[in-house]
Amino acid sequence: MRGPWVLNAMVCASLAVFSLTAHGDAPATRSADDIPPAWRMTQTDPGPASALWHRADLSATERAYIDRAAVNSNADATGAAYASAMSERAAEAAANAAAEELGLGGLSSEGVVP
Amino acid sequence: MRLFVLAFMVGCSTSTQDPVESLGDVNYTPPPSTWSHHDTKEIGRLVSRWRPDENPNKESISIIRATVQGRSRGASPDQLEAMLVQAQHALPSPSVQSPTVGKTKRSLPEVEIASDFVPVGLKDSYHRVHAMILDGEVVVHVLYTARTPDPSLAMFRQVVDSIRRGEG
Repeated sequence: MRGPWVLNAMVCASLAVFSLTAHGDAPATRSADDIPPAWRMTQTDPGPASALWHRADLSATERAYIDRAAVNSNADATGAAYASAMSERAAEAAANAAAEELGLGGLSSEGVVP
Repeated sequence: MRLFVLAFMVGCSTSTQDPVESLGDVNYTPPPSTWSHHDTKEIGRLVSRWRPDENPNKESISIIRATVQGRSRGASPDQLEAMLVQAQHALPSPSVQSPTVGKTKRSLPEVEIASDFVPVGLKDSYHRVHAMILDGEVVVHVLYTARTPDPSLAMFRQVVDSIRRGEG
């Protein structure tokens, strides 16, 4: 009776050790610039509709990446809008200066009958 | 002989001169008496603004006599033309056509440019034809502005072609 019990215990112990060592690989460290792993996008998480739920499921590093990307994206958009606005303002200032030098101050309203 | 003298007298009596209006030392043939005007003296320029008394098309003609200033002083006609084009972008949401260069009937160099724009605070688009006439350091602008422009631009042409320098 004792033999099978010991054998059974040894098998279980081996399986336990195997399972520990097999999944014991340290997760690869990711830098903040790494793209979040695609495997987190599952069938239950089809995309943007559940983005908040998905974000909550990310690691701190991945959240930092996502947040920084969003900031960079906003900064790019803001920078482009700013540059565009400044360009328009510069063109308008140059136009007004040219008009003034030609004696055309108030050109936009000159002769307009409302 | 009597017939000749009579014909001569009739000829003299029917030769009417165009009316002349003055803006400083600039003379021009004004629009007809159905238009009225208001002259102002502003910093560095004289302006005469004309409008029809009945004005459903919201027309006007502004005549501006100025002297070129700043970087435009001593500028070539090409440079002044470029400045005129640039100045059109002071208009709100302008659609500016290419300028044309020529001479008035009195042989003064002229640049013309047309544009469409929506004045600030208004919804309708207005059309403007702008002539810049150069005479030395003096520049005369004639601006025809209308919500519904006269396709012939008759009044505008009359004023532009009659511009000349005279006694101030």
